[in-house]
Formats: sequence, structure tokens, C-alpha cells
Amino acid sequence: MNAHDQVRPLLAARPGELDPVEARMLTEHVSRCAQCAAEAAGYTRLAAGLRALRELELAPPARLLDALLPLAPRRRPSARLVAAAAGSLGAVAATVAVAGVVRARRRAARARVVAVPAPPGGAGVLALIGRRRRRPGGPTVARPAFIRPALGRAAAARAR
Amino acid sequence: MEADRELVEAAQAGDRQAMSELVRVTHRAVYTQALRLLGNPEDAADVTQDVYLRVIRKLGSFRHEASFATWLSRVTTNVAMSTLSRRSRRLVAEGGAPPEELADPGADPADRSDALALAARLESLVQALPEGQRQVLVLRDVYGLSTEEVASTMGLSPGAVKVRLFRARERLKSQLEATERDVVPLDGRRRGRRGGRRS
Repeated sequence: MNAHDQVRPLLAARPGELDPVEARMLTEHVSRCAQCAAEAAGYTRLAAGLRALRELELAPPARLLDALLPLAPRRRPSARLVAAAAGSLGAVAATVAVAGVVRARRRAARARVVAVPAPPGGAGVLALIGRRRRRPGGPTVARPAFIRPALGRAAAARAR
Repeated sequence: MEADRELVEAAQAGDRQAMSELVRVTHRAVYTQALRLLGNPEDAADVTQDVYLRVIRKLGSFRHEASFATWLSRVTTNVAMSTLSRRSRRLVAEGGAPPEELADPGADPADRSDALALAARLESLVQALPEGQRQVLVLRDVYGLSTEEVASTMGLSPGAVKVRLFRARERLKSQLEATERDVVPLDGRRRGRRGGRRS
């Protein structure tokens, strides 16, 4: 077996597939043998074409995707998600509770407001009402307020 | 085919819509790989379904150490080969090392275009290879598994893989060259030795 025959099986190898001795033998031979150099170039081109093959996708049957999509499950949320959701709910509940307390205090404050009877025939009346300050003996400060509900109740009481 | 990381992470978090999109984006590549390995469209479609069943089951364990495409390719290889062989063997670890880097077919657009045109001609020639040679060639030269991984996946010795690989490459190169000699150019004359003859 001459060097040409020894090298021939190595021509198809890609870089990294040969041991150092084989690689050196191949390089030396190809540098002085035009026929083997041409063969090696053919294999290099083939390797490039095969690498590019990965980028080419073949068309699957039309119904394949229809069969695949229902496989995607409605998964249970993870424990971490559940904990996060519980935390959010807690925050919402706390906010609602605080809002309730604030609203109750406002309602209590409104109970101290004295409704002024509406002027005759006045719909949508802007009335001046008096609201006492907490400081006993202090001056009464009148401020404008739009008191539709109180006005409605007062009018109903007068009608009775 | 490349699915972006956000999409994969959304699917991992249980987002059904993201999972559907992931399937939509990747299913052609999975089907193509399965078809190249199995050589039969019906088997390839079945394997594609099995691949996604496994993906759905194991997506939570995917840690983004390799690209999703690489991971999916390994799952496809394992499902296809186990379907094909129907016998137990040690499979390529799906979380294992990334495959040997496959160089870009060509950074230069002209080279890239040539490589893709060549690939289109190779597709049918690869399909026509004997099954054993085709599988070794597809796993090693198209999808970039190492010789040892191919050997492990197929239950062969590395030496047997090298022999099949050499035969497959030699056969493919010779058939490719024969095909190109037979190409009839626009002027109607054949190229190469036969094309050179004048009547």
C-alpha cells in the first residue's frame, strides 16, 4: 500500500476526526498530490452542504400542527405563583379594609354636617352649611358643599 | 426554528399560549429531523407528536445551558432512535454538552446561498442512502453530534460509526458529482466529460 492508498480513507474526515499522525500524513500528501487535493476539496464542499441542510425544513403534513397544538396543557400554576397570588389577594383585602374604615369615618363626619334647606324651587342647590370645628367655642366656619342626598332627605321630611 | 428565550420561559411558566407558539415555531424542524432519521413521513409525524409530549413533560428541567433548538434536537434524536430501534440503550443525555459547533454555512451571502442550494440538492441524495449510513451521517454531519454520541445513540462502537460515516460521505460525494455532471445547462449541452463531447 503506497502513501496515496493510505491517505485516501482519510480524505473524507472532517477536522478533529483524525489523530495528529493521520492529520499530518494527510496534510503532507495533499500538499503534493493534486488528485487527492481535489478529492479533499470535494469533501469540504460536501460538509458545507450538509451543514446547511440543517437550515432547510421540510413541509410536514398539513394536519400535523392541528394534532400538536392540543398537546399544550393547561398546567397548574407553580407553588411560587400561588404564593404570589395569595400575597396579592391579602394586599387587596387590606386595602379594602382600610378604605372601609376611612369611609366609615367620613360618614360619621358627614353626620355632623347640618343640611341647610334648599331655597324655594332650587334644584341642584349649592348651599352654605355650617360645620363646627372641634375646638369648643371656636368660630363657626361656613364652607360651600354640594349636598344633594341631604337636601333630598330634608325635602322629603318637609313634605311629610 | 429558533425560539426565543422569553417564549421558552413563558411556556415553562405554564403559559398555554406560549407553549402553542413554541410548537408552531419549532414543529417543522422537529418533523424534518425525524424524517431525515426515519425516512418515512408517517413515522416522522408520529415521532414529532411523541417529541412534544416529552417536551411538555420535561420543559421544566430545561435550564437554558444550551439553546432550546439544541435541546429539542437532542430530544428528537432520542425519540426517533428509540422509536426506530425499539430496544433499550443508553440515550444521549438531553441536558448534556452542546454538540460540536457547526460552522455557519457561510457568512458571505454568496457562500451561504451556494451552500443552501447545495443542501437542497443533497436532501434527496441523503434520503436515498442506506438507513444505517443515513442515520450516522444525519446525526454527525447535519445535527453535529460527536462520533461518541452517535455511537452511544445508535448502540454502535465509535469505530463502526467512523466506517459508516466514511462510506456515507464517499457515496454521497460521488452521487452529488454524478448529479452535477448530468445537469443540463440552458444552452442544452451537458457539462463535464459527457457534456464535453461534440457530435
